[in-house]
Amino acid sequence: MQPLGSIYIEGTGNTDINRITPDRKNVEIFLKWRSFLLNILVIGNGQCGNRILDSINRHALGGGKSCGKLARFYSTQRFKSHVETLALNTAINDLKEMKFTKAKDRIHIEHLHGVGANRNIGKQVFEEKKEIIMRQIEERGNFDMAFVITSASGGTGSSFTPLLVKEMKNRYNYPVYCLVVLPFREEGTLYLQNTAFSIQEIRQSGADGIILADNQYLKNIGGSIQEAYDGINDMIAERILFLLDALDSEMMMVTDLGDFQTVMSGGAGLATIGFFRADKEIPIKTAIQNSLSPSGLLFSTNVYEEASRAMIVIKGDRKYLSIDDISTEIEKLSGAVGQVFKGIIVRSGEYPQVLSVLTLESAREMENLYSVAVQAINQEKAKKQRVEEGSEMEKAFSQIEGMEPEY
Amino acid sequence: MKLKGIYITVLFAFLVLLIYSSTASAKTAVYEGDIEEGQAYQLNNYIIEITDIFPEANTASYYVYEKDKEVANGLLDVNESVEFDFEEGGKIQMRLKSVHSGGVLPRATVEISILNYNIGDLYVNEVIESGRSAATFAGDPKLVITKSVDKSKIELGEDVTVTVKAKNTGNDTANNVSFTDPKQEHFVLEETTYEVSGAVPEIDYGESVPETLVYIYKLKAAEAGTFDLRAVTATYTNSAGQAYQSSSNTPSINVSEENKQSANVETAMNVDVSSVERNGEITSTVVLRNTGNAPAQAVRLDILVPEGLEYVEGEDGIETVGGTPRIYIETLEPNNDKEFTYTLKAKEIGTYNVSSELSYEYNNGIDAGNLKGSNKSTTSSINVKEGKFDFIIKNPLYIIIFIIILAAAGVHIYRRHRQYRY
Repeated sequence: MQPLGSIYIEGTGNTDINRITPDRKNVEIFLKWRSFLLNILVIGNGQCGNRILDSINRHALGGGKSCGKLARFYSTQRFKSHVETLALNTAINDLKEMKFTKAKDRIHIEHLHGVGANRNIGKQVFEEKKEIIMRQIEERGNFDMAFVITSASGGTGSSFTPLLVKEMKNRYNYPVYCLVVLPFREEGTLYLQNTAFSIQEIRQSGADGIILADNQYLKNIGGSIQEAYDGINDMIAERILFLLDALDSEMMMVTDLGDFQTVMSGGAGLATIGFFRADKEIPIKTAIQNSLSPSGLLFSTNVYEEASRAMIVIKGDRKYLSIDDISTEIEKLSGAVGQVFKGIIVRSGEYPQVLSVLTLESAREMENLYSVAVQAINQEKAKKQRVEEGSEMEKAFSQIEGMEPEY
Repeated sequence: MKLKGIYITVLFAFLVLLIYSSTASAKTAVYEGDIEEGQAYQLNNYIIEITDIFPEANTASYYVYEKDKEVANGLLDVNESVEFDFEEGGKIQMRLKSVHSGGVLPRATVEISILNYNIGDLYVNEVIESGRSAATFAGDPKLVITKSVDKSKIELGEDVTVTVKAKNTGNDTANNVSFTDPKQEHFVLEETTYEVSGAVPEIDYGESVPETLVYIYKLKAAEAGTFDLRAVTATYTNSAGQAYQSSSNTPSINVSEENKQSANVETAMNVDVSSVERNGEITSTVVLRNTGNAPAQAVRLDILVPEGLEYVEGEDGIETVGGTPRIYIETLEPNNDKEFTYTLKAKEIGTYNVSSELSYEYNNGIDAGNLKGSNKSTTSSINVKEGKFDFIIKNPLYIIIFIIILAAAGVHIYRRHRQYRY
């Protein structure tokens, strides 16, 4: 439901005029107004994607992390742009856990109770249900860009995402960006194996960029696994919402979707996001530096060595936004990185907030991950070989061949 | 018929007058006979002495005495009468009927009558043959009764000892002396130490005769004030049987009330608010304080809640009896107080006072029974004003609007629930 002066329009951004009430003239005004906004699709794929998507919807209700379940009864999601959200999963229980995403946006792809971290099965299910999935996207209209949020290690998300992106790129001409969450390294060999293949396939699927968020990294800087799990959803949601807000805001210095696309197209197709929100008055230089520091980034990287392009969006009260300090800090970054787009949003009474989108030329951490993943693949392969070659069990079973139980 | 009635009345009045007039002037002959010269005739204390008789002259001389006092004398001719006063209002008439000279001494025949006198009161009515010197008279006993107290100033509840004595200061024996001591107001007879039994047969007269003890008893003061004890009276007769009466003195006793005890239970009722909204609660406090010097017993306080207010609940010491909250305390010692708190609910708009009725008993340390005390108390005014939501009751439109809003909210919540329910 979108606000339209004194009337409300049922629907999900679809331009199907027959589904719109109550008055045609108002509807036309609304559609014209909406045409100036970005149409953005956010898909949460698999359990991890679902949870991050639900967190985005929760933040959009207002109140941020502290937003309670009851907020959905008295508040509405307030996106700056026209945003559609869609949660896909083969496990119905994961969809049921979602509290802030509307039921119509939770799509159950029926296959038992999930694909059990088996990407091959996941891919097979996607192929079987592809049309159902694509019809859900189709029904939500045309978009200016799409985000697919997924874990690289699980079953549904890691197997669906490459195929989904590929299918979307075949059918639509808007950019599709993937936000991929990397697993804890100790989660298991299957997850590491899935991660390696999934990222590779996403890159090959035609995705316009992959934004990395690393659970292992967030755990290392944040504390326990539970805290990392709890915190990462909110961290990603906060950054995505800030980005969406920035892309559709009037700015003192402008960055737009085009700039974002340019940044994301740079480097090796991998990117990450940094963010800092001041809770007191601090110099804007410090805020920018914090957004680029390990505590602000979602993925371990040395920005000044590995980044290829960057987009810095700064928001806050005018009194905190010293153009000289901002320029000095941006120049320092562009001196190391190359191209840096900057945008400034003036918001009265707000302390400085800085979002940085960084594409990476290289990612040492990713190389490390793949090294570990290769070991995991070899480990799994060796185990399988042992099982196939192993005759001990066969010998044991052969002892009772031709015999019947006696009672 | 009317005339006949008048005649009967007049006739009756005439008869009454006749009877009275005949009584008033009744003359009774007490003696008719001879009296020798030198002899006398005694009527009670009166002596008629015939001193000389002159037969040849048909005369006789006489002297009349009241005891030794001469009251009349004269010379009577035959058929002549003389009349003189006798005692109180009576008269004696003596007529000389004849004189005789045939014996040793001449004799006179006289007729003595008494007028206006009850003949029964004559205790001596005879001829004294030996003459006036041989006459004997009855004396007058006079009992002086003395009522004395050991203390003239006492405190309430204290005893005083009363002694009653009698002494005959007259000149005749007091016979059949009967004493009467009336009951004394303001005092209670505590103990009788001595009391004469019945009538005293006789009390002699004379200086050497000791006083006669009549009563010794103790009185307990029951009231404060100055009181005169009532007089003891005695009735008695002289040796001639004449009745006499005497009264004692009336000693005064001052009774102060310093010893008297009393309980004085005061009630203080307070409320925590002077103004409350309808359906609001009021907390009221009752303090019962005994400012007296005797314990108050069976202390009962009924809290009278006006109709616009409602009793909700109270402390353990408050129970509701027949819809009335009641406090009951077995004993409230002097200088002690007890506090009770209870809650009221404002039901109706208006100005109210909560009042109470207190009753209790106490013993003043003097009386055997308990005395009762009571008082009334009231709180300051409580103004019950319109409640926050009373306007809803006044105007049902608000309820309708509220229900519509509620329904709209319900529909909204339901729709949202449906939107998010998976």
